[in-house]
Amino acid sequence: MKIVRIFANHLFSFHFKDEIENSLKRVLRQWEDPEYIYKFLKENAADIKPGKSIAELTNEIMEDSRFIIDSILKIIDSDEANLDHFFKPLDNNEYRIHELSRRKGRQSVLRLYAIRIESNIYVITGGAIKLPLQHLMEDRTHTQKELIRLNTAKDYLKNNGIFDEDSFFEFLNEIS
Amino acid sequence: MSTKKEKFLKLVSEDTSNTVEWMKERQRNRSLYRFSGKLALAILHRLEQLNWTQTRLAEEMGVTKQQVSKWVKGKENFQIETILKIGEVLKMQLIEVPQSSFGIHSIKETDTLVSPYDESYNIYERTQEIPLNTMLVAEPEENYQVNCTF
Repeated sequence: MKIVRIFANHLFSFHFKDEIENSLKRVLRQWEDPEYIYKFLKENAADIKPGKSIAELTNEIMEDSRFIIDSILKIIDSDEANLDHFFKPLDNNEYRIHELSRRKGRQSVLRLYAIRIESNIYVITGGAIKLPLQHLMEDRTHTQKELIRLNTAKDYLKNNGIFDEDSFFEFLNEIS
Repeated sequence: MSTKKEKFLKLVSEDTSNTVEWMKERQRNRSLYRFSGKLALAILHRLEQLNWTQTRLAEEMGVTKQQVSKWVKGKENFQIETILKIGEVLKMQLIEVPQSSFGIHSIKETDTLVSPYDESYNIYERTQEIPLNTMLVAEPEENYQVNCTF
């Protein structure tokens, strides 16, 4: 398990052990694969709103993935790159910023998951297709796996001293 | 004493796969990826209608299964000949040069262009001009809207 730099000192991605690519590239590659998406949607058809065809939704997901690529590149190319607007708290009830907060970037049914290190510094852990009739991440296996990845990533950061209380007190010592 | 950010940066490796450049390549070649993706989707959908496996398509086409797998993953830069042959084998129209390309620059009411998998999905607004000889994924010979409940 390692962390790779995607862009400057702002955007990073985990590269989990036994996976060929870093998490960002892995999910973007999945989301541009019609066969993967089509199969996924057939397996999870019960979570699709009535009236929407599998093929139509597959095409929409590929377009949404392109939109995510455009959004990330736009942020990267701007003079004041700021990812804070893209990654929102995973927990909708997170009203104050937690240390190593679990975050999500979203475009329609697509979710890109990340850990917030501090303002404008994020490490991507993975991503998922979260369909309209699915409510909680715990409710489906594929999003459960993403929760595990988020928590594993958070533990990894904590175990490597990227935690808060110590860092916070170090920070206090530095400024005192 | 190091701050949290400094501690974090010590854990970071460089991205040897250059993900940003990979994304930029996807953006630069957007039309190609979009077209290949739509063709892939049309093939997948048709296979399901016919109850054919990818292996069957490979046999009918005289290509390897790996080749078909590449098609349905949207990874193929299709040759026109290949697209036409797939269309023949699957009995569907995958591309068409619209009549409006022969000197008429604006798409008319009668020239509605639709994707192969959703007749309500217009690729172009009807009033939008398109270049001459533009090839588009066009209307299939039969409507194959999928019911999402399967």
